Amino acid sequence: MIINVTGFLKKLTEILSTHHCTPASEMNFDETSIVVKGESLTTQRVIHASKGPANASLTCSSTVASLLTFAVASGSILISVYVLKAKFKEYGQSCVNFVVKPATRITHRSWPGYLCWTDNGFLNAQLFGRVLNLVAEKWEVRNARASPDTVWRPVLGSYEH
Amino acid sequence: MPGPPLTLFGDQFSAHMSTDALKRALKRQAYLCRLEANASYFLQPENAGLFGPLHPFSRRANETYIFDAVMAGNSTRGASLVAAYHSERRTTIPLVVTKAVKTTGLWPFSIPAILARAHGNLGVAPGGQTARDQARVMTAEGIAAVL
Repeated sequence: MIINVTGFLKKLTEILSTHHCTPASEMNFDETSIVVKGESLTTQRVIHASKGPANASLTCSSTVASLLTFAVASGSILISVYVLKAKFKEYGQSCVNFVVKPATRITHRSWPGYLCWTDNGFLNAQLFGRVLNLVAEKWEVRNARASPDTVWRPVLGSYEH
Repeated sequence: MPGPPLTLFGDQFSAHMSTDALKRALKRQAYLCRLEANASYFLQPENAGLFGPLHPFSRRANETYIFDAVMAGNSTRGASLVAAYHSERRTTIPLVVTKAVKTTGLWPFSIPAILARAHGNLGVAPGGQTARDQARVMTAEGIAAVL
């Protein structure tokens, strides 16, 4: 295990030394399920289906949503995605009885939150791919990572006159 | 490509490792860094610091929202979702995020901090020259043998 961690560190050192990285460009994402256990709301780690929990669960729990958060190393949250459960019928469509209710206003600090639905209430590969696209878009807008086209076009444009 | 690359640290969850996700990430020039299996609980900032405070706060918030929903005759499931949203917004503050990232050693990137965390969480003592280090290794081996 320590050897694996050391191997990971070598690869990471290579990436960080060959690329210019800033705290705004480092991000961590993880999924946690928010469940109701008994009368209280709690969080639960998302475990792969083939891996059973170590001990038998004595209390019944129902999943409210699965929360996927993208935390930036600079201290902000880029987006958070709530994955809810819905039974999809044929053609991948389903009617969902859902009402967005106002939550108590907390601070001026805010980040976009998204709601989506899957069959099992957890993130799947297809949805994760779409979330990745969204994250890249948001990150590019926030950090203004320009492509070579957008950098050079205004410069070249000035020569056209 | 001008500008810094986007580096995303995640665990080895099957949905995060699909070819579709990798294709999309490569297209967007984002690096997907997979943390080692069974190491994400101490190497991941979100597990190390973000989801911890969410747990006690959501318990308190849920009681309030459920009570309101019951009195108003609304759905309790919706109330729990709002309570989760409220708790997330309240507990995820920049100080908590930066502290978690620093604790795990991912930013500022610190190899000794990450290794120390790995050793501490896995119950493995790093070998050294001093008598104290050797005693630490022997104790760790003894505990591992018992477990």
